[in-house]
Order: sequence, then structure tokens, then C-alpha cells
Amino acid sequence: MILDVRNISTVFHLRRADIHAVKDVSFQLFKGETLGIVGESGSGKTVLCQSLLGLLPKPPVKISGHAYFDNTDLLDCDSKKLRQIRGNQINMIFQDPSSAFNPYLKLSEQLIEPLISHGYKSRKNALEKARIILSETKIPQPQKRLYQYPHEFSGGMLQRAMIGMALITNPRIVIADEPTTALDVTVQARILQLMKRLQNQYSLSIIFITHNLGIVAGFCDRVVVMYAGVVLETASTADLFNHTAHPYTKALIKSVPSIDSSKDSLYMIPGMPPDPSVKLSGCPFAPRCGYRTDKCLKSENRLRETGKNHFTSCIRVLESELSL
Amino acid sequence: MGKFILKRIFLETLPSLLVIITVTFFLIRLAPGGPFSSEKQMSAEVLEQLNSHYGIDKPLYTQYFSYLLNICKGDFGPSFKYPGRTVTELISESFPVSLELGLYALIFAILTGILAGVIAALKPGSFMDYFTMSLSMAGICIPAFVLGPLLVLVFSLKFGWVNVSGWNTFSDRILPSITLGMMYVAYIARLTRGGMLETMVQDFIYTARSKGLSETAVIFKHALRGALLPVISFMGPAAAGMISGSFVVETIFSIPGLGRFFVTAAFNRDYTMILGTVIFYAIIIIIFNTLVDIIQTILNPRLRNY
Amino acid sequence: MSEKPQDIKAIPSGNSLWKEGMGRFMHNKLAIFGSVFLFILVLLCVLAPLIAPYSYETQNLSYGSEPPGSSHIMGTDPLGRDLFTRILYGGRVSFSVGLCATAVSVLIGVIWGSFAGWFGGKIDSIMMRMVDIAYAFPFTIFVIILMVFFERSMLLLFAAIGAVEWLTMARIVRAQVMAIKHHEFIDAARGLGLSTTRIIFRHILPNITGPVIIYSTLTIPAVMLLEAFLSFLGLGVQPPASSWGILIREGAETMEEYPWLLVFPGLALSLTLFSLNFIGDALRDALDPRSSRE
Repeated sequence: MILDVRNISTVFHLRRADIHAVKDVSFQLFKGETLGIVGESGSGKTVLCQSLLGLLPKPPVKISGHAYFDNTDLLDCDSKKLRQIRGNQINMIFQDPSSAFNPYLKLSEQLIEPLISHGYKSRKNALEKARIILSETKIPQPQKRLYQYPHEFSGGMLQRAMIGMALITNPRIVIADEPTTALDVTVQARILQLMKRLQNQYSLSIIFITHNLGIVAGFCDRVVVMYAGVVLETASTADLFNHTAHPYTKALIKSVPSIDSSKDSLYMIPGMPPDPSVKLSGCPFAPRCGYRTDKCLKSENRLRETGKNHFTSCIRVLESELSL
Repeated sequence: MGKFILKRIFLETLPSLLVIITVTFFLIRLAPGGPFSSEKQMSAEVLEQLNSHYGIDKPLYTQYFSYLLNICKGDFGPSFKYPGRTVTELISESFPVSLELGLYALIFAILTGILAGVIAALKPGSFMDYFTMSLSMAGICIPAFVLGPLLVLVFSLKFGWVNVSGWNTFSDRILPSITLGMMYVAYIARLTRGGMLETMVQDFIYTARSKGLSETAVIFKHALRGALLPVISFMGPAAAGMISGSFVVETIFSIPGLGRFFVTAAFNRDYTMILGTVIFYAIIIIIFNTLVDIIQTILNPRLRNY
Repeated sequence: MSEKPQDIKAIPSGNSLWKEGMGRFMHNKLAIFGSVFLFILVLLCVLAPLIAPYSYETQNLSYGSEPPGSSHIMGTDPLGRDLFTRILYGGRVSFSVGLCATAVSVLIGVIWGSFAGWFGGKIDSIMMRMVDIAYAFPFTIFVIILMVFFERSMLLLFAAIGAVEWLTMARIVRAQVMAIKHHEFIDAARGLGLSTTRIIFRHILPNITGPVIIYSTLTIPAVMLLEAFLSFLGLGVQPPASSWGILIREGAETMEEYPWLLVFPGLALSLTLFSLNFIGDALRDALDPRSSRE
């Protein structure tokens, strides 16, 4: 196990309200695996990863819990230590490559930054490493491209460069926040292929944030399903699809449009996600759940094992009242 | 790049220059009275002689074209008020002084302004923010002709740290430079602050932080570049303002610069001197603006044409 | 980045832009202070003939060059004239020049900018190119030449100063007109068959009043500064009339012995400029939704 996250909660203390973006979330990441974090917008998946890396401003934000990486609790160490890990051993890839790069600096500058700022001495070697990583990500003419500016790249190529930038320090974990959402479908597939190859090559563990179950099916080993800041189900990909243990997951799977289906209209989960400034009791999905009963709203929401390495928070499934 | 410069010169610079020269020339000539009307009473013959000597009796458009011709030869004509000396001489003597003053003022303004702007931007709405912005606001609201004498009052007369006026020792440069630069501290600070606030919320700042860079590196390496672009474009109008600012500052501190000469020339109706100075200033501003444009293109790769 | 912390906002209550703006303005302490100060000062200047302790012409050599005291709260000048009185009367001149010249520049700027913005295309290019050329060159020099060579009347002063400051207004108005021109409600108005004049007056002009007010408020101090500058050089207001610029010059000449003659007029001018600038800034922050004071 390479990352052990326990009971993370993130609250934004804003003037108008307190926003509970992440509520008591726990999960583990194992070496070499791809863990998918799935959820709609507002489910807290991005805030979760930002909390892990200390990227949220501390005054309005309060984070509690633990995240153990390499004998260090990421949530309880000084910022200097955290900075050494961030960008070096745990790196991030972002959704929109065109805004993630600094438009005023050459790619070379930005690519070698993680190396130099983490103690790499030789600039010349760093530049060579950058060139190598660009060719690894299959960018043509890496030597020339290295000294160009971000606006001279296409979206797909820029994303490859971003992946390269995330891998240049040989990190242990890569957190990819919807890296393919901003790209064309065909480019998406190739980027995913690239990531898979590099993962094998560099023995990476990947946390893959997405709202797209299709990608999850093809790319992730295990999945964490989040909703309204809470984990509803955790399982291996196979188990998630074949032995679904939560009504929300079931609804998500149902909403993925399929070419085979003969229906005329798309399935939509009725209702809206809850207001994050209101503290809830019971299962957050209950108001929209077709299977809800009274006890769903009252009892405490906790993840419990329902099969081998398969966890769910649905009380009805756990008490074997429901099978999906 | 060379093509860009040539295009600039012919399409924008020369026409602007021509317009300025023409307007100034005719403006001066159209005014009532000639260059010698403020002199004491003189006999008609002396007046006639002077006028013909300086070519004022010829028709206006003749004067205009011969003037243009002379300029191309680099001859701005003799000064009307300082017999025996040419405008070119006077300008080349006094301009270096103004240049030095302007440079010091600019450096002071840039360093102070950017620092104030960055400090203010780091904690918007805080005391530091209001404080630095108000302080630099003083630059705009306390005009040079108030600030200058005040500074002299305090630092020269009361404390005796520096001389009251003159341009001899190094310490003579301090008060005039601060006086001239103060006005720009305010603008530069505001522009820097605005630029920083806008830049700091961009995505790539977030990326930089996630790469594990220290906050200092994030601010100075990533944020400042984009934030300073508006400051650079401001340098154009700033140069223009420094010129008019120099009139007052050089007068107050008795600095033998071109600004003071210009004001004297204006009062003395020294036609050639006025024209020469105006043209000279115009050229300076145009060169400066072109430089600023070039620098902008260097700093902002998105402006480059491929 | 799907959910940055800034994205999570509570639903805002429905407030008109003006009401919200006024609310923000009221929070700006500097602007409030400036407004109060300005109001009092202008009131004093307007009422000068009624409340001034002395006539501004009275020269009483026996009271020459007195430091601030009980009978002359700001002291006197070498000719025995009461400084406080002179400042009040000087203020009348300075403020009226400020307002008139600003009105001139606003008029020119709005007309120029609306034309350029509305017609666009070639007309716009030419008009704005002229603005660009003028922007790069210090009009101050032309104003100096004007004032030196032509008769120094107040009218010329207003016109000259106004001519310097219209450029920024023109640019802003043009930008606003262009932005609004493409808004859908203009197309809708056109579709309804409204005439151009009607469109301009009922739809476009009301929408540019915001920025026009803001920049007018910021133009007044620039204009007052220019007037003081010219008067300081001897090119602006002519004696026996007096403005703050003239007072400052006289003060600077004698500051070694009589510093109060410099300090009080300087203070009056500076505080006025401060107030106007703070108010203008606060207005800009308040009415512009993309406020930079986040």
C-alpha cells in the first residue's frame, strides 16, 4: 500500500456559509495500480486531491484526517516537507493543458522546474531529461518542441507534454484530474494508451479522477465512487460493474449511453446533488434514490465490507435487503 | 523583426512626426506678434533687418518648406534668443542632463512601484494593501510642484542633508529624481497590483504550486511576468509625462536641462528653439514607444507573428 | 480543474447592479472620507463671499507675513493678505476650471468615442489612430505653446485643458459602445424597427453612463492638476484672480521664510486630489463587477 488516506474531511469556512466539500473519506492506493475516483461535479473528488497535496489556502480551509505516504502524514507535516513530496514524488496532471501552462515561458523552462526546484543541480542534464521525456510521450521533434511556447502546441500534444512534466521527476504517484475531458475522443484514447504504457514503464500508481464511467471501465483497476463529498462505494472495476453494491453506482452505469440500447431518451438521475453548505444526516443520495426507505435518512453513513475488498455505504445492501 | 521596425517607421512614425511638426510650426506662426514683439521698443529698420536675417519676412509656406529641408540636413536653425548659438547646440548640451534625471526618476518609480504593487497584491483588502496604495496615491495627488518644494523645505532647509538646488554633486540628484518619479510610483504600483491579482488566479499558477515550487518562485518567476505586461505598456505614456514633469522639476531645482530651456524658450518666443525642442521630444517619444512595443513582443510570446 | 474552491458559491440574492454598487461604495472608508471632505471644502469655497473673514484683495502691510495665528488662521502673505481667504477664493477658481474643463473633455470624448464605436470600420480606425498619435505625445507641450502665444483668457484655458484630457474618455466610450453594439438587445431593437437615433439615445447612452461618470470623476483631478501646473508656470489663471496653482508658486518662492504659504495651499490641492481620486476609484470598484479588489 503506497497511500493510506483515513477520515479526510475538508471544510471551507466562507463568509456566507461553511462548505463541507469532503466528509470523512477514506481509501487506499496500492503500488502499481490505477485507482479511479468517480463522481459528478461537486462530488468533492478534486477537492479531495487538493487537500492531500496541501494546495488549499489554510485560513478559509480546514482539513482533518490523515494521509500516510512513506511514513509521513501529508496532512500533518510542515509545508517544507510537503513541498518536497509535491511535484516530486506525488505529481498532478490537470484537465485543461492550455491554461495549465504558463503562456509566457518556454516549455523547456516549465518542464525542468520540478527537477531544479527539488534539488537537481545540473541544468544541462535537466534539459536533456526534458527532451527525453518529450520523446517518451511520443511528441514528434522533441528537440525543437522543447524550446517552443505552449500556444504553439495542439491540445493533445500539450497534454502529452503535461504528462511528461508530471513524470520527469520519476514520481511514485500521479494524480490525474480529468486529463482527457478537454480532448477529442480519438485523442483521448491515445492519451490513455500513452498513460498505460508509461505506467508500466515507470511503475507508477495512478489516481484517476473522472466522471466518465466508460474510461473507468477500460483504464482503472479499482474504483472509488464519490457523491456529495462522501464515498458511497469502493470496489475493483469488475466488481463495480458486475456486482454493483450501491443504487447511485447503478444509476451512473445506467446513464452511460450505449449504442446497443433501443431507448429513445437518455436516462437521467432525477433531482439535484445536495447543497454542500448544509450538513446532512444519513445517506446523501437518499433524496434521489429509488430504493430509499426511512432508515436511509436516519442512520449513520459508513463504508462497510460487502464482499472481498468491496465496500459500500448503502445500508439496505449491507443488510441484504437489496440486491442490484 | 527588421521588417516590423521598417514598417513601423514608415507607416506610423514619419507621418506622426510630420503632423506634429506641421501643427507646431503653423501654431506658432499663427500667433499674434512675431518673435521680437516682446523686446523693448526698437526702430522699424532694426526690426526689419532682424526679420530678414532670420527669414521671417518670407511667406509662410516658403518658411515651412525651407525649414523641413533644413531639418533633414540636421539643421534646426539658430536660436532667436541666444545669438550665435544654434538650436542643435543648445539641445545637445541640455538634453543629457534631462536624460539623466529622467532615468533616475524612472528607476526609482519602477523599483518602488513594483515593490508596492506586489506587496499590496499579496494580501488584497488588508491593511498593507490600503497603506501601500494610499502612499503611492500620494504620488498622483501631491503634484511635483508641491512635493518638490516640500521636500526641499524638509530635507534641505530643515535638515540640511542635501543642497537646495543645482546639479553638481551626486546628492543633488536625489530630491529631483524622487520628485519626478513619485507620480509614476502610483501608476506603476496600481498596474502591478492589478496585474498580479489577475495573474495569481490563473490556472498555471496553480500548476506551478502543484509542482512543489516555493511561493517566492511562484510569485517572481511565474506571476510577475504576466503581471508586468501592463506596466510595460504604461512606459510609453510615462515617458511623455516625464517630459512635461521635467519642466517643473528642472525649474524648481535649477537644473540646466532641456525642460527648463523649453519653458524659457516658450516665454521668450524663441521660435526655432521651441520647434526644435518639440520635434526632438517627439522623436524621443516615438523611439521610446517603439522600444516598448518591441519589449512587449519579447516578453509576451503570443504577440509574435509567425 | 472541475471544482476549484472559488467555484463553490452560495446563490446571490437578486440585487440591481446600482444597489450592489452603492453598497460596495459605502464600504470603502477612504471614499466616504473623501466625499465628506470634498463636500465641506466645496461648500466653503462656494460660500466664500459670505464667510471669508477678509476680502481677498485687502492688503494690510502691517499684518504682512504673519504665521498662522488667532486672527489669521492660516497666516498672511507678504502683502498682508489673509491666506485662508485667498485659499477659499482660489478654490472657487480651481474648482470651476476643473468642472468646466472636465465638461469640455467629457463632451469631446463622448462624441468622438461614440462616433468611432458606432460606425466602426474605417472611420473607427482613422479616429482611433488619431487618438493613439495624440496619446503618445504630451499635449502639455501644445497647451504651453497655446497659452504663451495666444491671449491668456479663461476661455482658452478651459478649452486647452479640456483638449488634453479627452483622449482617455474617447477610448473608454468607444470600447463601451462597441461592446454594447453587439449585444442582443440592440439587434432586438433594430428588429423592432427603431431608428438609429432612438437606439443611441434610449439604449446605448444609458449604458455608458457608468464608465463615463467614473472617468469624469477621475478626470476632474487631472484637470485641476493641469491648471495648477500651468498657473505655477505663470501660464494659467492670471492675477489678480488667483488659483491654488498661483498660491503654491508664491508659496514656493518664499518658503524658506514663510513655509505656511506653501504648506496650506499645497495641502488644499493635495487633499482635494486625494478625495477625488479615492471617490473615482471607489466608484470604479463599485460599479465594475469585475472588481480588482477581490
